[in-house]
Amino acid sequence: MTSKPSTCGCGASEDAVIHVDVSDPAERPPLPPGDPLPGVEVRVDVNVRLLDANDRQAAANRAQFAARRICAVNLVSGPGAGKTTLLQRTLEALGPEIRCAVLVGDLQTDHDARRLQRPGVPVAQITTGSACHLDAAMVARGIAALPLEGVQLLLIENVGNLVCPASFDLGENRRVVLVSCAEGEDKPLKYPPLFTSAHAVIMNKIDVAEVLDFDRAVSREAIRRIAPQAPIFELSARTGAGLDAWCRYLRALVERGA
Amino acid sequence: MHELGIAESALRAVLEVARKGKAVQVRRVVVRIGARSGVEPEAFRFAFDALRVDTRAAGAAVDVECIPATGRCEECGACFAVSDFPAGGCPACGGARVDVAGGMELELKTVDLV
Ligand SMILES: Nc1nc2c(ncn2[C@@H]2O[C@H](COP(=O)(O)OP(=O)(O)O)[C@@H](O)[C@H]2O)c(=O)[nH]1
Ligand SMILES: [Mg+2]
Ligand SMILES: [Zn+2]
Ligand SMILES: [Zn+2]
Repeated sequence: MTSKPSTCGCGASEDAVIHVDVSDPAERPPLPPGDPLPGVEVRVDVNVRLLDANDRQAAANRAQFAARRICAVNLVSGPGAGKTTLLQRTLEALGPEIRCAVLVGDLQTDHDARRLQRPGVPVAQITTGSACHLDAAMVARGIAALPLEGVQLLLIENVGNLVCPASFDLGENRRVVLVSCAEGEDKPLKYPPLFTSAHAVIMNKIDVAEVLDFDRAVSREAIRRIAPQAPIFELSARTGAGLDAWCRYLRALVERGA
Repeated sequence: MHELGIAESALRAVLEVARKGKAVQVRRVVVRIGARSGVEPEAFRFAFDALRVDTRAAGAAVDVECIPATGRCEECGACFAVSDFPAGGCPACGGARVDVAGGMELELKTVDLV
């Protein structure tokens, strides 16, 4: 287990961010009680996915996205790879032509949600408490809190973590994994499950690749080995370099109704 | 620490099977965890053990079947282990498009009841 919750202890906000707190443990249904009766030994073939409940909620979310003609994109990365910065840029670029909404998962704060506020773009912050990933039920509550009329593109920023978001289907149409040039080139080799499940991979912070001695070709090769199915977007969310191809990708998703 | 949540859904499923089977005790549980599922078998075990105290699964043997990561070549259909991620693609034909065939499993397979 490589993820560790971090807290930043910043104050509360008084603006238009919608808050969804899913950290209340009382929400969980109690374990079923038993009524013991003696019997003989039997083997029951169960063969059920352990994330069955999450999978079912994810399917319900997916059906809702389809009914509303929304394309949902789940953005996943380690902490600090640049998800929020990329979303800011993306909203600036696509905002005028595509109706967007944003769901941001975070352990404690609504910093990111406030950074993402734009006129006409509803933003909901999902505070996960101790959970190091978003799950389908949290997303269901998030979308219930958002005004989704007319929304074409729902951008979901997952909790910064390269491990568990791989296991939790949110009902998204596309899962996009972000790595940055400030991390090692071998990230995909260390966290294969997430990259295996990625529809696209973003290599962010190419503006500092050279300074950090980051070899983009080596990184590209590592991504292709684990995620041959995924197109790779090399860009800088800071300078905007390479952003066009990413925006074209999103535009195409929205146009064909992903 | 999401193994806790996964262990919780596993225990929930086990106890549900026990309740439906009107069992006094769960003797044995078999789960399948793929090498690419993102779940550490040891962390799962640890969480499962912590949760099942005072339940009918408290005394059960827990078998974890670890499923290795395998790939399937889209071009020639060959299946092979991908634990070391060979750079050349499919070892049989060299094809670059490889699908995940195994290793994503996260399942409760069997529950033995008495
Ligand atoms: N040099 C550089 N820094 C970036 C880039 N994108 C994000 N950052 C910085 O990386 C840090 C983390 O970014 P943030 O968007 O909050 O990452 P998140 O945790 O994935 O949401 C911030 O200081 C950003 O300014 C980039 O393309 N280039
Ligand atoms: Mg962020
Ligand atoms: Zn987690
Ligand atoms: Zn082949």
